[in-house]
Amino acid sequence: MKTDPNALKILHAGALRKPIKDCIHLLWEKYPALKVELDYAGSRACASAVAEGKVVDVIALADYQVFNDILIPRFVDTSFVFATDQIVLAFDEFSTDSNRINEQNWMDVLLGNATIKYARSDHRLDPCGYRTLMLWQLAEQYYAKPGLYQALENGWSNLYPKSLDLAVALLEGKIDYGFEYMSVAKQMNLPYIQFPPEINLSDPRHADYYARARVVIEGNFPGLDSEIWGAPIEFAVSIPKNSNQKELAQEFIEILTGPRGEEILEANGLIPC
Amino acid sequence: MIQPMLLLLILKKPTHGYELIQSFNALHEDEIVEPGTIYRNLRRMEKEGFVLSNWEATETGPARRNYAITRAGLKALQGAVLKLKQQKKEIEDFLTEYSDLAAKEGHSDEN
Repeated sequence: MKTDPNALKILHAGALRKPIKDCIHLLWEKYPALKVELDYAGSRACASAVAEGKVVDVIALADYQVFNDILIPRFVDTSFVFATDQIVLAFDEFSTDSNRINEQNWMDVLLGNATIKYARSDHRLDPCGYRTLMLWQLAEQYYAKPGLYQALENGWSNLYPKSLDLAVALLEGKIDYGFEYMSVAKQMNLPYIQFPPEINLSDPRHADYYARARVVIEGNFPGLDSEIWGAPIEFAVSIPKNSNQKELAQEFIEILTGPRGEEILEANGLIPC
Repeated sequence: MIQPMLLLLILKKPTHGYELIQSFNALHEDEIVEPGTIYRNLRRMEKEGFVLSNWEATETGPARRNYAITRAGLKALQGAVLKLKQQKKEIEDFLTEYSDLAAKEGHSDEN
């Protein structure tokens, strides 16, 4: 794709689509003629694109660890944490058994009916994917149900590149349930079940418990696997070193992390921090 | 009580929301406050001028918003302490009054 050298280029996690767009409208109040190029993917896919030479001015991801794993120090100096979230089980009013699923029986419903289709996002591309695997590991311990993680991992029907795709698949009726960020479920007006704070990756009080969960991201070559440990969800933003629009990028980040950006994040179901 | 508690913790050590959630709930094990409530109160206190935040980078982790107490925050904390002392005195007076009456009429405190 041909890009405009004067445009502000923002690459972001799919889950941030709506708040990022809303913040651009605030930037346009000051620069009405400013051209903005927006691109989005799963956060690991975004970071890999920058590491492979994609030039962007702002990169906003669903996990600061992705910056540490892929971009710092070669492509980015540091990242700035600006919001938190939690993992929920989103569904649709037409989802099978949606009238009886609840916070206590969700795993029995998902595993007890072979016609139910539930999905997660791809842990190799998207933090929501590895966070779902972590939640399943923690759920196995929390509910004292040996084998729960493997049963859930063996039973999913669809794997999507990013969390936003899960929500779209739910709306289109392709799946019945999706392990999703609460913010995305709220933005799409999807009903959802909340998990206890001990497993939903929302609460720094449980950071040590979350750290019991571990996911291995398979590398392209032997020995290039990376290991990710459970931690509270923290979205982060940065300006890559090769940005051509550092001042504008900084202005955008100041909007995102400032009082008006905080209102936007809150309105989109995220918790600004 | 959330804001005075947060102001006290920040006065002891300027820090970020993540750590405040951990130390707040360690002090208040009986009453769990959700992370969102703590972050919202921090933002509210910044709007009111009680705390001031700056980005602080750590060596290995990301930069987080670090909060420090302001002169207005210190004054607000002192005001909250005075109010709490007054409430404490009112509760103590009430309990003394009740104990005296209970002793006079032969009731036990437990009943």
